Amino acid sequence: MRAFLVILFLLGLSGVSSGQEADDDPSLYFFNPSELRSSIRHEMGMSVGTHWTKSPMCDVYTSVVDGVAYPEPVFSRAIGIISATYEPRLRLIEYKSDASISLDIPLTLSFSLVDVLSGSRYKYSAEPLTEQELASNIFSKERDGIVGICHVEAGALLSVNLGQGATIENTKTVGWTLSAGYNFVRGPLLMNFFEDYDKADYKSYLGWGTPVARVGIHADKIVVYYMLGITPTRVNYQTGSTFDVQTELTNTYNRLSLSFRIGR
Amino acid sequence: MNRLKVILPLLVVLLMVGCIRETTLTPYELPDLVKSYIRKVECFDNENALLVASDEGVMLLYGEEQVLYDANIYDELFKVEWSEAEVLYSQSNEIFWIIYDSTFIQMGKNTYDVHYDNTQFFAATQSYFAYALSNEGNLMRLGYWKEFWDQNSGSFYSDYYIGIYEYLGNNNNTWREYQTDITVNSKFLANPNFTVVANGDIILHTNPGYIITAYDDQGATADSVSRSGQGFKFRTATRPHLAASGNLYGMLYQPALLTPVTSMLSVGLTEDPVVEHVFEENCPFPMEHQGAVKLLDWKGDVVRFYVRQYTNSLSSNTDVIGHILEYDLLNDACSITSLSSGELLKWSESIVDVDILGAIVYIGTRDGLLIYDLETDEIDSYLLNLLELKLDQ
Repeated sequence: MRAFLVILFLLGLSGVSSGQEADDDPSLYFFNPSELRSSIRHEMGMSVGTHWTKSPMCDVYTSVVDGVAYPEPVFSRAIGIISATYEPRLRLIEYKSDASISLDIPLTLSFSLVDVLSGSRYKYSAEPLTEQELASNIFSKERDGIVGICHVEAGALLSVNLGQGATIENTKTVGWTLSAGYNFVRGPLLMNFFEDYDKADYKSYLGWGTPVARVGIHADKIVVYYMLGITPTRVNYQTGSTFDVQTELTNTYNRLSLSFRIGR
Repeated sequence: MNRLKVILPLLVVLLMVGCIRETTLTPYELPDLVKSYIRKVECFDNENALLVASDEGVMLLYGEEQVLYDANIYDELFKVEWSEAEVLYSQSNEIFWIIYDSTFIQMGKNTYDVHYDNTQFFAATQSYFAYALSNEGNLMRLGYWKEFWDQNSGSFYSDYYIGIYEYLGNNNNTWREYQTDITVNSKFLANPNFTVVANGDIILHTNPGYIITAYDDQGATADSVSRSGQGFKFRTATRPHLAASGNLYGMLYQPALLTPVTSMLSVGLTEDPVVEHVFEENCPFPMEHQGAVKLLDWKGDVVRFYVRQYTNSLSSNTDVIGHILEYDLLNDACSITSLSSGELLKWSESIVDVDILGAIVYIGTRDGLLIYDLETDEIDSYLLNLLELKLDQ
């Protein structure tokens, strides 16, 4: 994000105040709503088996062994089996026909498996305990199945585009995009009805957001993107079964996808 | 443009690699002892420290750090009558003191020491002596080292001479004694209640009051302050507290379940007379209550008490399990916050002890330790809260 701010600052130093093509610098072109069609680019993308994300640590599951409590991180995890994305990309600033800065809004619907797990892959149940269970020293309940399926994502990325795809006039065959921003995840859309899980029990596990960065390579109408979470947290913990220090990386995002430009 | 092509990927790579955060979840001993009958809860709000005593042992909390003393190992803890024990704490050395009869227990993160005071007669120490901690965290005691009766006075009353004692705790001598010429008339003999203030002065809340600025083997340097007033009829005030405003506060007696306090005393440190602030005159007490049975904490001139709810579960209002009384002694403004009942605690009768730390009220019951969040009005089990669990309401 800092890199983009630097670039914006440098571009701002060029003296362009507002409007379209600047009088004193015809190489810069700023977004004009009346010419939206020439400043927007639409892409459709998909990924198959190359999309997974984990939420930040949203709770702690504690196993008790011989009077010692071993806390483990609890997080939501979504593994996208097939994910489809529609992404409008709004060019905010264009530099000649070579480069641009754009605001990208990737909107994703994923057929995915969404689960809430602990570090040791204990299927953490958010269902409340009963007094009878507490009296019996039962401190946690484990689920039998996954929490649900399908999730949606919405991102807001600021991108620097160079070469092909950077502007509508660019005729180069290859180009690339570097982006940074924030991506929101919401899921599962469908709770596991076989196990009768209640969405209300899992309300604090169903949505999260994470800062992301993305790199994209354009070749004609095709773009290959790799998007990555940039603020993962490494959680060190111990379990009562092994006593060794374990590590879990939370707040992660990984997606390799293939997109196609729609229109010009 | 070519420079941008080089610099931008580098910046992105740096961003990706440099942003991994790290956190560690550390195993901890499960404080099972808070599931049993809780005998004592003492919070030290300003120091963010807590002591919980149960039938199974003692739990100390320093912020989020806990230290457990299992009574099966530290068996002296079985012998403490917690309802009569006095608990003191000093942040300077992070040591808790438990004073019961002639037994002194020091507890800390790596300290557990028991000492029996064989130099004094075996009796409830609070009947004869007053205790406080110095600014360095050392235990101090004030008592009377000499009685002088003037047989020519025609009076039955004596002058009692104040002795200042510093805890040594060795096998030969529990206390180092400093004899002073400071006297309290025997007619008004009572605990020489005192507090040690930030500059090291010892403030005696007796009649007359004393400000002891120095003491050694030769005696003490002290200023005497006359005390009078209707409210000071017992001629000593328990739990003295000197606020930054310069007002000295105290109570006529130690509050307890069967002897709730009904007022507070205040006086300027070097002024007279002592003023009594009667709770009933300013506090909107609820219908069913047993009065202010425990002083919880001080914030300057504002004192908080636990007001026990009178309960008869057949006829009482079962939505309330107790109250927190907050009294601003500078402005005689009083407010009472009621604690709502919950599934875990329906009536006040099982409450053994209560204290408050920040916005959390720690409630010791016969069935274990509960916590009450004053911001959300929710009760939770301490243990379950620790394990991040939820109870089906």
